[in-house]
Amino acid sequence: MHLPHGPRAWMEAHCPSLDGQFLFLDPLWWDTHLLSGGAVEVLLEAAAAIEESRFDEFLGEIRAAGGWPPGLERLAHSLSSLGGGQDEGAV
Amino acid sequence: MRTVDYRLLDLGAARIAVTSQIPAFQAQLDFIYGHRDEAPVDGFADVRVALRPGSRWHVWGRQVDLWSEGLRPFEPYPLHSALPLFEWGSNWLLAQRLNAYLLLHAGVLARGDHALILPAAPGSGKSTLTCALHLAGWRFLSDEFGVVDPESGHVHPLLKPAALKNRSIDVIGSLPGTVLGPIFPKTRKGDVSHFVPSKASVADRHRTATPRLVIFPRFRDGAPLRSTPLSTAETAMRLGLNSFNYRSLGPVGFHAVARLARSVKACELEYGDLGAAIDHIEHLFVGFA
Repeated sequence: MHLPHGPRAWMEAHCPSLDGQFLFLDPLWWDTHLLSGGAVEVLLEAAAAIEESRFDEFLGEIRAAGGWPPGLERLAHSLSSLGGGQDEGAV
Repeated sequence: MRTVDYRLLDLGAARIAVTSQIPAFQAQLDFIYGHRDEAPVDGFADVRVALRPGSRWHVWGRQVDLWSEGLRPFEPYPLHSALPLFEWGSNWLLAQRLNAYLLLHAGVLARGDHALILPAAPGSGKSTLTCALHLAGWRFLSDEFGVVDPESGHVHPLLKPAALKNRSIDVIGSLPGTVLGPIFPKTRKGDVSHFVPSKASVADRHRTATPRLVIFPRFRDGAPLRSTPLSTAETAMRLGLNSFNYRSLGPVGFHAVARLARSVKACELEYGDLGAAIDHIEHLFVGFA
């Protein structure tokens, strides 16, 4: 099976909408989470920040906004394990 | 050169090779795995096991060991319980091996080529309901494994006898057409007897089916029938939780579960009366078969 490269591609392939709720496969631990639309938006922002090499800034923004919604911090860090975008993993 | 005389059981989605010199076990195997032509003994087997009697002088009485590829993965059982040891042991080994499929812990039945899947935790009444539906005319695909092909989405039969325990033995034993093996009293899971699927279901053990309905059953003594529809997302989460290898399969399992959840109707069914549960399931299945 071809695994999509990068956090945003992972979100696209492994966070489908099922009747208004979202299933998310954690790329690091391979466990599955049932997410709301709002939680998916936060992860999409995290994915974009990772790919644009500004994840640390994004973490600061989250702290400034009062911290992570429950359970999402670990998932965002799992996304960061996929690397920072198209250049990552190039041989 | 002396060779081991294996017997190859073709279950549909998998094959088990088994050998033993215990005459009573061989006779029981003949009975509960009847209705099928033997596969060639030198053919491929997903699981290969030997049931070997222990010393005559063991302090707890004579025992039997299950060996598989040089390992003895379980504690020995009393010699007279070789069949339950074989059934549970081979199920455990199959659950470790069949990673080309998504394996649900589920009973599976079909009307024609349209499948009903009953995923459930142990103690939920899954085996009793699966056997009762089979006796009511449904094709038996499996009592233990929902074998889902991740590429096609179809379910494959894995046709082993159903292990009925304690009260279920009398409940199913009292229904017309039931064929049960011997009762093994006071095993680690209580009294156990093996339900033998029909000759027609055994003959169809290579015939796949398309999933149509998923029901998560839960028997509760005296409970009124309560059927609660499940959302697609909730169905997917529950299918993953009721799988032997969902997490091991990673993205393959994820997509298989999402696809399955999208393609079926699903509900949770709590019941206290077997007949009422069967009537309700027949009603839900109208239009599929």
